[in-house]
Amino acid sequence: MTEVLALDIGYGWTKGMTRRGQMIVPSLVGPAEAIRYESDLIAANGHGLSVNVGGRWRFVGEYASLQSASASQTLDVTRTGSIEQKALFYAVASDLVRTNDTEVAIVTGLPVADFDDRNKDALRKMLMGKHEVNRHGKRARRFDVTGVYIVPQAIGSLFALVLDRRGQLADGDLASGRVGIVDVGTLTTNYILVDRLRYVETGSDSITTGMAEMLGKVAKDLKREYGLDWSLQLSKVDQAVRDRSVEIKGVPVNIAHLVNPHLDALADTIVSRARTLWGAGVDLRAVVLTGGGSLELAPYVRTAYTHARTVGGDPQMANVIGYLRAGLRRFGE
Amino acid sequence: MSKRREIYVLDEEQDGDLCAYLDSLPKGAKSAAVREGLRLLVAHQQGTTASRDVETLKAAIDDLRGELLDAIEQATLANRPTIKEPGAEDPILAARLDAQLNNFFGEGQ
Repeated sequence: MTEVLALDIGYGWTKGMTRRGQMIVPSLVGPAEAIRYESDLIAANGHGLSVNVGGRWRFVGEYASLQSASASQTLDVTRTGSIEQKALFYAVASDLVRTNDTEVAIVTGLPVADFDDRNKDALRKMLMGKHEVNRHGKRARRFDVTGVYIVPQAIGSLFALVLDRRGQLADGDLASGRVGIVDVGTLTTNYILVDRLRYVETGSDSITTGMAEMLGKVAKDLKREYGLDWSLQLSKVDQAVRDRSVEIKGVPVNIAHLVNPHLDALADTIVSRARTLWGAGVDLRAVVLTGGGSLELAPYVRTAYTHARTVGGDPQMANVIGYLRAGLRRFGE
Repeated sequence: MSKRREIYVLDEEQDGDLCAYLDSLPKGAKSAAVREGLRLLVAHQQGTTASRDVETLKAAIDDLRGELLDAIEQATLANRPTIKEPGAEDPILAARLDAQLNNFFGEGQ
């Protein structure tokens, strides 16, 4: 039977989802051979993700950041069809696809700026066909990807809003309107314009601005003001930004004065591009904010677009939920 | 300012697409459409098509494609019963969504 696997490989996080489960891992990949006492570490930590790609073992996710000195969120993660992307795909697919799922249809996305034949072909080439995923300490998983279906990245969030769990249209209000979607990711921000469910290419774009840029600036400020060197640990900075607080020598310190100007500047850049694409947005029924940075930026975006709304639940997962629902509509039973 | 009238011939069979497009335009808009088309052609032939013109053309093609898909949907749905049961999908929106998914998913294999 064909299983639908929704896959969203982002610069910050890789998300996967099937009808039965979901998985999210940091988009970190590191060479396993760089690790000493490898077998001890794996035995002691059975949930470590380690996959073999192209004849080399690689650690994926938290495990890579913990154990692999050279692991990093490199730009290779965003290079379509790279070894790093394949390792992330293997880590997620081997966990979510069942042994008896012999055929898999993958629904995935590309940033709007990369939504062209060259990148689609590279992604399809990486995902399509028979795969055997060898994992440390686990049985190999084999599956055959018989179809790869690619959509512009942020449109998954709209599908998540207008489709129900079976892929049936559930929200006629958004579906029947002209809607702008802003997907604030780690490295990129995607803009999608949809008119009554039809993708409008001329109102869609992506820019290489995202939360990582802002987090990097906050990290510099934290080092300058408090001596905290978190420049290579952006997940810690991310949490500090959400809390607007860090702990210095055991004492919580409010960092809103450091964070807010950078968020303001990021929002300016993001809204500015939206204005170029959609003007004041008066003909839009809604502006939907999604992606990992959407909750932080929502108050700023609402000053420009008062009808902006965030997706419910975890905005990081919205695209992959939409991919799955669109896939189930098309390929579900 | 003097006006000039020109007569051009369209073959209803070979140029059916152009005829349909011109027929769809509101009264008084045909000359403007022809002028715009000729300007784009001249600019293209002279290699001076500005990116703004390309964007305008892309937007026009997007609009045109949208209108065409609308027309196809309407024609397809015209002969179907449109009684909508409670909780059922809106047939027009559903058709529109499926057309968009076909467009995205068409190259999956």
